[in-house]
Amino acid sequence: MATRKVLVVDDDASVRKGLQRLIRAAGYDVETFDGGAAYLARPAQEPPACLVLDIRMPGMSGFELMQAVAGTPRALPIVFVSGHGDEEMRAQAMGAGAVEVLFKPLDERALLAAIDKALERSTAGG
Amino acid sequence: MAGVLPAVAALAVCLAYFAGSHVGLALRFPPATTSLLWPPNTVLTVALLLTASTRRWPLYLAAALPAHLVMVLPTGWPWPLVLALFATNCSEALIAAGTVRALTGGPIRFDSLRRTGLFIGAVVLLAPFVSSFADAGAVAYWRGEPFWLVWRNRLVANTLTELLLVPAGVVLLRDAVPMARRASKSRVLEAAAMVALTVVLGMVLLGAAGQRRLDGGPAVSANSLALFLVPVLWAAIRFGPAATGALLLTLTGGLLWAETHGRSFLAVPPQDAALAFQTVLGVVAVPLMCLAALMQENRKADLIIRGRLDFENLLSRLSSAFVPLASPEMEAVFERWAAHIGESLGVDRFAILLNREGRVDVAYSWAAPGLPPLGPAPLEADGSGQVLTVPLAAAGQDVGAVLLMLVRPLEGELLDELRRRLGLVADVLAGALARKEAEDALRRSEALKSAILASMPTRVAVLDRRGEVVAVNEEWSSTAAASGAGPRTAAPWDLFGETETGSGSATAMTKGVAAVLGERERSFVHEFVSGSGGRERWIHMSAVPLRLAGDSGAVVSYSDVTEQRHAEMEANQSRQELAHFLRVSTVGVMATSLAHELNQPLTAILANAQAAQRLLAKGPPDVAEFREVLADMIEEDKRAGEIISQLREMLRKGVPQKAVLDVQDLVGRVARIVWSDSLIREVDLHVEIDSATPSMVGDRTQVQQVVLNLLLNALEAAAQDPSGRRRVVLGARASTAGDVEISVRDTGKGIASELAEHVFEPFFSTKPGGMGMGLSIARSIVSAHGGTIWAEDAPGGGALFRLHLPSHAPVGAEPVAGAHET
Repeated sequence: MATRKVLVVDDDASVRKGLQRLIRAAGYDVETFDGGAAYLARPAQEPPACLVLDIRMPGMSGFELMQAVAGTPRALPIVFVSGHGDEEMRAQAMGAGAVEVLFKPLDERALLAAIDKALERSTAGG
Repeated sequence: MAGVLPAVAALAVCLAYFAGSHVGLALRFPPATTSLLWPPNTVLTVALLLTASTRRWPLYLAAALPAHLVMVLPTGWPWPLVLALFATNCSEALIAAGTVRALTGGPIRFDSLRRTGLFIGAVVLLAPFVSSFADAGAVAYWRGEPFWLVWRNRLVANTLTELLLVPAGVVLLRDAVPMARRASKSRVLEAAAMVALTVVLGMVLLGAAGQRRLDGGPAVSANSLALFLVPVLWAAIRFGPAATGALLLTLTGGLLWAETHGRSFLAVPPQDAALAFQTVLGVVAVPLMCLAALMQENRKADLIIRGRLDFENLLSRLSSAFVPLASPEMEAVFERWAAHIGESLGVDRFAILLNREGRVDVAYSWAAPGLPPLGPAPLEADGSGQVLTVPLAAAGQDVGAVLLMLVRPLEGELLDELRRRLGLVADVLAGALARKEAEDALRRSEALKSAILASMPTRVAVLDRRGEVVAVNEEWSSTAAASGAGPRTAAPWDLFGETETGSGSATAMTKGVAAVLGERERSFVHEFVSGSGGRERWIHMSAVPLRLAGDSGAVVSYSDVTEQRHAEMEANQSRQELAHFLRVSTVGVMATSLAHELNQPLTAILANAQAAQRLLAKGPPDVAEFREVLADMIEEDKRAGEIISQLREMLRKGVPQKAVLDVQDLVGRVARIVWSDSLIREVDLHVEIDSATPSMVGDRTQVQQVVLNLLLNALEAAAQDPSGRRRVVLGARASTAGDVEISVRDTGKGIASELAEHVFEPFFSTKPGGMGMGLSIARSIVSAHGGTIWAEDAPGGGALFRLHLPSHAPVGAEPVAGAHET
């Protein structure tokens, strides 16, 4: 079984670090980025892989990054996480093709379930 | 012969010539042609001397011809001789009057030695001397008399007649009436006594001379004639040349009449006696006349000096009359002195005219008894008489004039003297008027100052150099009376008592006032609370130096500022409450972003905790990794706690607390608070904090509130940025003046320049639903910190808010406690 890779993009370093620990402890391979620009600078990731993407970020927002990689090899299934949001935002994200939208603070099981779901979609898509 | 009709004057000349000829012919030793005294020539001389216009001279000379013919023709002398004698008589008068006129240019006078000398030279010596040649020639020719004898006899006779008669004639005709009017009673009596003595002496001596001669005895001793020297010297010393001449003429006439009419005083032939008398009297008369002139000159000089002294005395009294007077009393004194001056100058009217508001009015006037007072238009009073005016100039300003009027005009020296005196009077009056004006101005100024001081609700006292109270206003007096202290208590702060002010306060005031009195300080201000138990009064005390001419002191004032302080406290409290309310509102507005901000550490903590659980579940944990996880959790918890503590701070209600604030830290914290907000609004927030930004003294909560308010406004404006730049820049640095400068720039639509000041007004808002209090409170907070805040257009569009706050001086330069209370 190929390594399941989770790519975390969040501008908040402590959140990044915490998520990295948690997801890695759950048995995934984790790589973190402090923003869209850093992610775009990285070579495209082979599946199975998914993105855990913060929506509110300075510079490029999560939605903007999603649009930027759409249709490119960097496009991966996305689990959005946000410190602030409502159902409208969730509907918008889901409509755009997101696997899941979760609100901070994150529920462990919901996060890992969403990651698994995304990885599945990654494999299926790939 | 001014003022007399020419015809009347001519007739008078004719009659006088006639009478004079009669006398002259009577004083003769017939058949000799020449008289011993010959008055007709003198009559002509007097007539010409008294006639200013030479065009009338021929008339008066011609008028004498009939008298000459009537008198001389009966002598049986040939016609040509009669006419020749008339011609020589006329020539004598012409030479005399013409010479006087040529030498003096004016009327003949005998009131000085010089003038009398001139008269003797021209009239007495020159004219008879020259005219006698022609006279002697004619007589020698037609009558065969010896030329030199005739010349000598005529010269002696005419010289004597001119000498004795002209002064008497001129003075009698010209000056007798005014002199008599001016003369005192004692002087008239003296003159009468002198005349009586002369008459008595004449009668006695002439009678004696006649008796002796008839008895055939020896002649009267010539020594007895010396008695005549008594009235003559009397006249010379007391009555002048004219009277002396008149007396001598009387004496001479009497003697010569006696000699020519068979009476004699000397035991010699009458012709010899007459010649001797003529010679002696002629020789004696000249020095006597000169003596008389000298005496008169002295008398006149004495009179002038006395007049001047009187006038100087008047001026001196006038000068001192106004010195001790207060201005209101001067009015009456001016009125009284107008009368004094008028009388002393001997004028008919006197007035003081004052220039009031561009109009000249008669302020004080006097008129001699029987004359109407001056009307409002003094110069047109009655159209006649003489008017003299002299301007009154005080301190270079034309304040009016003095005016006098004379019914009988003066001329020459008298007019000049009067003008001079009027000028001196004007000088003194102008000085008095200037002083009056100055005193009035001073009084008005004093009244104004007193009224101002009296109307002040502040207690004011003036201290002298030693700190003694020299003057207080009414408010001070009444407070002093109410407190039981003397109105001029030595220490002004005693009014409030040490127990009320506190001994420290009294000591501070004592020292402060002493410093001002000693000119070590330019002012002293102290505020203290007086009273207790709900009756506290806030008193503001100030002392400023008072510089008087040659002395110094201080003005101490106490103002009750209780109402002001209460109002300030109330306003302060309202402002604090409003600021708190706005902070609470802000927290409400920021709830979403605060929740986001809190979510970040909570998310991290939760993720770390769950990761730790998983690590534990896998088996024995890696202690190092566990320690790291726990450290991160603690760190994130602190971060969350800080957000909560900031939130609590913003919701804090209470009095402002001053502290030295690290502006860089403060601005950074505020930036973190709004960080989430900027993310939510999708606005780029840039923070540019210069490391050289100085610290300041102030209330942390309030200063944060100001910056937060500006930032939230800017984020809101940038979120609506039509250009899509959506950017806010928060900056902190040192201003060029060294103050703290905090700026917030956005890329919103900016503020219209005409609204740049209005945005700080209460209830002014450009946002829908905005309260319009945020910037108003921001400005009041900044002002309370001694700073300024303003709005301007940002370069490239949008709004730029800047605020300057005083920086905190380096340690040691100024203690923190010295900062202003907010």
